[in-house]
Amino acid sequence: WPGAIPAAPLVPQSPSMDASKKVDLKIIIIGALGVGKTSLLHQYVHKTFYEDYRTTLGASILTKVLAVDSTPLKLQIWDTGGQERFRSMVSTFYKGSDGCMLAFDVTDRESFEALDNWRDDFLDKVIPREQDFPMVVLGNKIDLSDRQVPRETASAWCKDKDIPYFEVSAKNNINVAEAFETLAKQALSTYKGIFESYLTDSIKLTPNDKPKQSCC
Amino acid sequence: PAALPPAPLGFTDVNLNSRNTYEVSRRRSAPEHLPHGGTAPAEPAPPPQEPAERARHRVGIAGAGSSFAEFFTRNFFTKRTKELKPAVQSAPGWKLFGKVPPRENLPKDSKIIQQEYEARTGRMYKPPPPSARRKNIEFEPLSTTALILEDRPANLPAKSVEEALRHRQEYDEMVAEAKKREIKEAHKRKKIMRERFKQEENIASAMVIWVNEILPNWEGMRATRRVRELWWQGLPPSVRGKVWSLAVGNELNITPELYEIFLSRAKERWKSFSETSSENDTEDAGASVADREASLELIKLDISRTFPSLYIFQKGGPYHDLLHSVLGAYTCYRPDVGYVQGMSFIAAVLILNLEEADAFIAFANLLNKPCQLAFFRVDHSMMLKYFAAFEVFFEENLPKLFLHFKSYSLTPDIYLIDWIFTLYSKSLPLDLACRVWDVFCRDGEEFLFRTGLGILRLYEDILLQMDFIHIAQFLTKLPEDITSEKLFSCIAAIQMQNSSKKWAQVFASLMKDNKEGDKNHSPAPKS
Repeated sequence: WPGAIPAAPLVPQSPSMDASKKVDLKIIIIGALGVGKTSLLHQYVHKTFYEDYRTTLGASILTKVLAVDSTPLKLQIWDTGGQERFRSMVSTFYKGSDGCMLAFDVTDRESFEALDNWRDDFLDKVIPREQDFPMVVLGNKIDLSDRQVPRETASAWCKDKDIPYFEVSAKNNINVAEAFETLAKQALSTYKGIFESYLTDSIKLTPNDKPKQSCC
Repeated sequence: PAALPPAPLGFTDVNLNSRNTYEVSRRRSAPEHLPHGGTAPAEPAPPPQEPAERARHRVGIAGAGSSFAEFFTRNFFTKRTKELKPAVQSAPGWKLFGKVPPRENLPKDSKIIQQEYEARTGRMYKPPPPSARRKNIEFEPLSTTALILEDRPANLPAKSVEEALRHRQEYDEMVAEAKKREIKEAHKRKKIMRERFKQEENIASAMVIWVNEILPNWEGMRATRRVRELWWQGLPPSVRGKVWSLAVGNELNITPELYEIFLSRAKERWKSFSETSSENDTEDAGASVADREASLELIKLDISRTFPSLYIFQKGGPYHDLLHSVLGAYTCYRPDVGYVQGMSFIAAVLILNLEEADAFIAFANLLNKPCQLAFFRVDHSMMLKYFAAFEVFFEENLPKLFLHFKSYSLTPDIYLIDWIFTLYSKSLPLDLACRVWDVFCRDGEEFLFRTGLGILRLYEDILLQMDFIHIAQFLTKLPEDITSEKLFSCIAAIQMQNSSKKWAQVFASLMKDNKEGDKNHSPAPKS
């Protein structure tokens, strides 16, 4: 019977793991329930939008291969359950992340107000805690008309924290890839920075003094 | 109590392969279709089973058992003396097509339709069916006559004798070949039918035993070896809800009246919520109000995400309001727990098998079990204990796979959270999930983890070939063609004994590691 199961690709189609240039990055997407985390992910990875929503409990993982500045990248994107109460449970999945995507729903003010908590919670779990951890904020569902969070409000919040902000629609595939790629770029440069500082440990300054990551 | 059950017989396939069968059978068992003509619906109601059953019919919510076998049951009792009119009369379906000239391809299709129809009705009305006439039909490969050998039209030169002979021969061979194929297929179909009849018979006889012997003597018999074995093989859908209710119990002493009270409370809250939210739309609502009401909002969102492929819990679907009610009442009954994602799946499965108030009672009591309480309160440290206990048995039962997972630091929370929260109803096909629930009701929480190990065992060979990502993806989205026979034989092979320690003991010692002396949390399942 094992033959009857659609064989999952056992080896990534991309260049093999030990190719020294190939980089694996772990990205996690968090945010309140129902903001469309799973939909965003599916839009980005599968280029599809499902009208029927599925509840995510725990975590589910998708992968996407892309190239950033000629560096082949494999993104391992972790989708998490969004209910407030799951936060402690979900946070065990944060460890080892290279980037974080914070999502809210522009038609749901509470989901925007919850961003602070999600962000703090995430940063608490990331060691060492760095304020400039690669992060982007996505305001989803801009295709809907009953908007509750003005663009300016969200932008201001993000600017204050020096996080890039994207207004997106998973449904109409607006800006989704851009947001993911920006995060991938940031995560990659942080990753490389850490890698380099590790190599030249004795020469480099402490991580605190390393130049601030700026995105695009 | 480690009475290890024999290889499962596989009842669940009553619900055949589709998750939608529930809906179909529900319609079938809807009151208007039930008894014939003049007889009052409730009057011939057969098994001593339930006034609840009758009530359901009155109200027209064929909620509960509502499955095919239940229908079978009823008919079995009500109709055995009656004529088999409907089945026989509809044979014209075939005859009609049978008259169509053999040139056309229709006879074949209609024959299949007829067979299926007969099989279906036959299953319901007369277990040992194949009549002489049917056999006849089955083995006459009508469709091959659609291949006609004709001479050339008159306006063309005739074939030579040689050529004509050759064509005739080729034609005969083709027809013979087609006939052979047809007969083979017919045999295959017949075999499948025979197996189905067998299953139906098993269910029918098991159902009789459950209704006549076990249910009336529940407390005395539930723990007997015979009952436990029968139980393992899957509960007949007609008694499933009843047995679940009895097994889950009602420690909380909830009455249907109490349910009504909490339901009306929930309704009031929905009403006041919709009023206030339209009033001060722009103003910041008080945080506590927002929190409290978020739960209600959340239920709404989640209901539409519950078994979306069934189309019965979604807005406008027949069970939408019911699911909403049960969950809403629960948040009023247990504000300390509230609504947590995953609950909608549990409530939905109960609603499919039980009457509304009974579903609520079972729901509240089920969620009050230590394991469910730990998960739905998201008591993270307790959850970790459960995962740790799981890993003890994982290592013991599947050492190779355990090491493989370890090498990727793949922790069980990645897949167990989803499985345990929804009691497998989201991750396994619904009919299979119901069978897991059957034994879960018998064995308690231990069986949930045993099922998890059974799944890992079932797919061990493939999982051993996979890397972290693929394992995680595979386990969070299991193949849809997973069958009950295979899964249950794998579950049966899982030993829940760790060097002479049982699940409850392993769990208890893990608990002790943390909080010494705290013996309040006995996870020991009722069984």
